[in-house]
Amino acid sequence: MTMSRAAELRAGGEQSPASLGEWREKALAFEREVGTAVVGQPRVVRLLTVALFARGHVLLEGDVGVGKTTILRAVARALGGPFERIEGTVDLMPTDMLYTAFVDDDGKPRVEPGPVLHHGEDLAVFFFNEINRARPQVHSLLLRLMAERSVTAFGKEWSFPHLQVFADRNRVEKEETFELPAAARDRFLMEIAVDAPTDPEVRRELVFDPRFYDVDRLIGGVAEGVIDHRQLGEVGRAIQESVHASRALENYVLALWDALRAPAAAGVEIAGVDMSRLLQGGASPRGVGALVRAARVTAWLEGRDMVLPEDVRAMFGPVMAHRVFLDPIYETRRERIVPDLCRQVFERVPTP
Amino acid sequence: MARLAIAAALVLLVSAGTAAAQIRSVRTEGPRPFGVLLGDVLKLTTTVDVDAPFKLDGSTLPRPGPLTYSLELRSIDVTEQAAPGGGTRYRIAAEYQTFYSALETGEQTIPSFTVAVSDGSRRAETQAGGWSYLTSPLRPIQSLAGESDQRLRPDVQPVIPPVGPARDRLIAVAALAALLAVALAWSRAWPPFHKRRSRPFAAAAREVARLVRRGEDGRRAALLRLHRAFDAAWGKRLLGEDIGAFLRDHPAFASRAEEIRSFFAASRRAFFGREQGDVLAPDALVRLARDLARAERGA
Repeated sequence: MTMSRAAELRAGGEQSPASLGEWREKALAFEREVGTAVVGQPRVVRLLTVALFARGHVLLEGDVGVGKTTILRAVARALGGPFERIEGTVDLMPTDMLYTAFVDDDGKPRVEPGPVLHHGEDLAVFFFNEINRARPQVHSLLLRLMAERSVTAFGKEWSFPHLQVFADRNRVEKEETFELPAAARDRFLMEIAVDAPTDPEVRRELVFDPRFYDVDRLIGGVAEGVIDHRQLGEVGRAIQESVHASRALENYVLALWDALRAPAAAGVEIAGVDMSRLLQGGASPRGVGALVRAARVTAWLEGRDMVLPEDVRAMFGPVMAHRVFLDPIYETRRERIVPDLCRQVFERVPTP
Repeated sequence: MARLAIAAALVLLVSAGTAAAQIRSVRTEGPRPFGVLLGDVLKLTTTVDVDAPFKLDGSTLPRPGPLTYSLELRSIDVTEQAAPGGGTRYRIAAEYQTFYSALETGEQTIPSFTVAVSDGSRRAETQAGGWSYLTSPLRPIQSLAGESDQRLRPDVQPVIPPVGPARDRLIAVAALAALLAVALAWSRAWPPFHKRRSRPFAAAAREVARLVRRGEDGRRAALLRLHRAFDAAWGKRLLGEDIGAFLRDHPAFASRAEEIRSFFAASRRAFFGREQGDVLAPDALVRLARDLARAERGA
């Protein structure tokens, strides 16, 4: 059943647009379903939906208590499929992700599959909470898990074809945290900033509606398995094939890339910043590829069969900002500089 | 004053009949009767004293105009006053000009005319106003050797009319016209103001009109040119979904909202669609550019 469906989608031709249309309805239903539990964050929900269909991993960043974990749990539940989570701590070791060691009823030490392997190869969502509290050893394991969707454990290779990694990171503490290495950050399709809602009505609802006091019940109210996680890969490929990116758009994206790599040449100016020293690297080809992938999914979600500069712009911040690596003296002001840089790149580069 | 010459003697009409009694005297006086040259004007005055209640009958007097081959009557004028001893005195002033080109000195005469008087039933007539004079030929002046230029009077110096005030007015008006032309060019963003930052659509409208005539590529270039004008007007790149914000920032263009939206839709199809082509019609594009330039002036 699943195979025939995937073949049908892959075949393209007559049936593909129609079934993609159905999938779009499902994606919008998924957004609505997540929206019942997560209020005031339509942008975050939309970005997560895009990430799902673009088959990318997502890093959420924000203050404490703005609902990062709730959002991810709601997404995982609406997506359906096996879900596993782990809390990042200073003493977490890579083996702790793969194995669970305990003493059994007979008093003998036993080693069982850990969080990553617990559900076997069908694992759909792996949620890494407080990722910046984990050590670099853990990051490197995660890097392989994200990049290759596989790990080696119990003497064999485990592959997770449907896996999607969500991680969150709070930006309050700097003590006993380990900044993600550039290579790991580059593996995340998006880094989504989650802020507290600004709409007064939403704020009132969040604070006074008893519905939001019990997170487990709130998540329990989200319908399970609105979309089939096993088909996301096929659908994602079909979307990438069916949404058209014209030559003009290709040129536009390449111009944006150039401007991001050499902002001084593009005429970008940020107050108090020496533009020639600002950038250390980043904006990788993988990053730009991810940008186009996400832009195609955005266009598809908007019901278009062509990518517009608007789609690229909507995805640029979440997809590219965390891939820009600044000179250390500017790194502390990153939160002000990078959004300004992205905004100015779009103000300078002419659309075709 | 020239010696008064009495050309015709006082005539006392003593002939029998009643007519003699009614015209008491007729006398004609003229200028000196010699030395008259071609073109001279002769003024003769004939005085007629008439008994009451007789009146002069003007119809017998000659009318102004050529009288003979060489004599013209220029005017004739009758005045009336009381005659001494009762009755009426008529003065008939006649002005002749002679065109007689005499070859040698000779006598010429002015013909007399009939003076008629009547009291309604009775009528009396007599001849008067005749005159004779000596006319002389015109002779050229003997030229004097080496002094031929005396025969030509020096040329009149040309008068140069004063042009100062007119020139000042011309300069003032020309300066005003130049000023107005500059103001108009500034307002319409004609060269040299075509790079005016606040008039991007004016410059774009000109280029669009030029570009759309160059086939498919030209039309795409025209679309791009108009996009650049939108970018310049907004100060940053304007994408299709920003139109609402743009119109809020620039309400002058709000009346063209529909056209702007369809322009962006057409531009999306042209640049990002699967099938190339289907660009906005050239006329519509040119019209939109002009409308936007106009709206921009009104802003």
